[in-house]
Amino acid sequence: MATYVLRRLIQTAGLLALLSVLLFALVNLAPGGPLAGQGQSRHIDPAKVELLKRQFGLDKPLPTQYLVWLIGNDWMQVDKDGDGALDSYGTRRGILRGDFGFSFRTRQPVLTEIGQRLPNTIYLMTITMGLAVLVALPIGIISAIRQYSLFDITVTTFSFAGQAVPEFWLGLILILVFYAWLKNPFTGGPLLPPGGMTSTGSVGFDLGDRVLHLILPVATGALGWVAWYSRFLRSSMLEVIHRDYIRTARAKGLKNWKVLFRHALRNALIPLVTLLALDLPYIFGGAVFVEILFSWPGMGRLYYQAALDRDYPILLAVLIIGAGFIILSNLLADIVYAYLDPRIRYE
Amino acid sequence: MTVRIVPDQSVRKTMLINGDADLDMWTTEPMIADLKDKPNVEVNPSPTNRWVMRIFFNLAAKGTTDPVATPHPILSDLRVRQAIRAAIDVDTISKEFFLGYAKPAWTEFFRPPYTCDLPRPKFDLAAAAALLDEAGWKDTDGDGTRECHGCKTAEEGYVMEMEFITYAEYGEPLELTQQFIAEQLGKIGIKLNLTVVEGSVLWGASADGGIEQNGNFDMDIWDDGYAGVDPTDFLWSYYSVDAAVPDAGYNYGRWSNEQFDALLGDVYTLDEGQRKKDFCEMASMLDAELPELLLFTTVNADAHSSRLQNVQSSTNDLVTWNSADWVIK
Repeated sequence: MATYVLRRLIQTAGLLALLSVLLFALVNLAPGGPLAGQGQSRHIDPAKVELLKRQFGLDKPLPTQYLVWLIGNDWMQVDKDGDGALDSYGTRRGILRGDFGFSFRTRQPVLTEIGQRLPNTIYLMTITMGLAVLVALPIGIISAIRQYSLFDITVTTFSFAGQAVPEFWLGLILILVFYAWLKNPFTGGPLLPPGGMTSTGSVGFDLGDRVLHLILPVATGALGWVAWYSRFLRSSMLEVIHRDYIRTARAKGLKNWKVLFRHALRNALIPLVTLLALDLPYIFGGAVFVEILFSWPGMGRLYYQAALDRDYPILLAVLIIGAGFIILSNLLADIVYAYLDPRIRYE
Repeated sequence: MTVRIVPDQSVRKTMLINGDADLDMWTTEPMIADLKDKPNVEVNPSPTNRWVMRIFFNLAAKGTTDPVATPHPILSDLRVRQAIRAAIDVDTISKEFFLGYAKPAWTEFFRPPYTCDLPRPKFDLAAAAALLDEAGWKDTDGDGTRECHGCKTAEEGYVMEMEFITYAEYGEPLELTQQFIAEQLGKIGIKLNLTVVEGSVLWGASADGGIEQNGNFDMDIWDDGYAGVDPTDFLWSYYSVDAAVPDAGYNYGRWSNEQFDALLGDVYTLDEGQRKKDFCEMASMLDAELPELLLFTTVNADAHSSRLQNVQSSTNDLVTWNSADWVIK
């Protein structure tokens, strides 16, 4: 196993190197640029554009820009004041040395920008996915063992609806109902806040306030996951409970709950755990629609805004770190799979 | 003052109505219409408008930037541009898509201190069709789209079909306007294929693949206008021959007129009388040659709660410009 993991890690490094070239090229070759007008800001003075290009290093050929992004520019002279003349050595260290550059929009280091938002996204997504699993597990199990019952048919209908309803629509409806229409019987104010992580003006940590602000975004984000995981577990359970060893267990006189939870569920959970491992990158990437709709300052919104602004350093950092997460979660899924299923051996 | 970034417009609107927010910046037309009758909300439009929705005509062939060497096969003919002007019903656009908040504008000089008295162009589909006939664009095969039959700018049989672009960020009113204009021009035999792009793609530098700087368009529609009271720099960047060079300015249609450029030099003077005279002469030139087709001004408004007083929107600055005077009742 150790050899296998080592080999996969080496492959991961190669894959990330290849991805870095592809992502850098794709992001830079897409139409539009970081110095174009956006939204209501139509234009930037052409002279200022040239100055910024030199300061940001965007006047350099693409391969040079890639090299600087990768290994930094502290070994070469750069035009810091943008006057057209090289005046001093650069200060960037490159992503290989943990420097992802600075945001073109805010001039803040990329890792600072990500560091401000990543905890918020992990906070939201961990609760969303955790809750989704907790709800999906009993639903999936009961649906399987009561196949074609009223519960199963109802849950199946809701599952399809849950997968089909777009998050942006569901979120708006929930805001309309729980913020605009329903009132808190004690205060007379809205029942739930429409967004944000805390109430405006709140100071310090207030658990109740935090929970209230989580309800709508978590409900919006979790519905699709609940539907997806419960359907997956249902079919996995159905596959397992018709196997010979389950029949044998029953024939030996084991109690039904023991057969289901000790023999069937453990095996049915293996593919679900793998699926969960593959979904782990969402905890990093966040949910764009939920974060936009509920004004949640997380990674999804950061990425969306960076894409609109053509803020290349942010875009590239999110993409490459996200790619790393996906590759590593795939590896994790393989390892977990081998751990849960003793028949699997990696050579 | 606590600033909260709430990306979704409908959430901002609900927050304002519920009293959880006191101010919404850059309130859009649909939102103004929704808020205007709410008892605890006021919409504050700027006393003057700045942003003029306009159609840019590319006078050079699509993908090129020299209207002399490679003139646009359709739009380089003035009569075609005039026909397009006559075929657009600005009043309907204002009423239906901008919910009455757009005001017709047909010249850059529509607001003080430089106002020029130019007659408003008439919406007249029959006159528009006659202009196209006269220019040698006729629909002989009966498919609803005209072809060149005797026109002076394209080969015989060239189909009158163009791309019509707008930017996504403005939202629904502009996209509906784009569709409506395409329908109206379709009635006189001009086929428009619609495209919606991000502003950064439309206005990007030529090296970044910017559509306008590279001349990769036939017609597009978006809004701009000069801030403050002096239009001189704005006029230079949109109409001077120097600004027609890619990345030097925003004369995307590559229109050039020596007399206009000379007047642009003359208006850098402190003689107000001379400036007014020169600006109105420029207005007449722009009206006659139609390098851009100005349609209407868009509203510049901010919505605020009734308890927040002394808010005054300005077309030249953020609404917070006079926040020192704001009072909460």
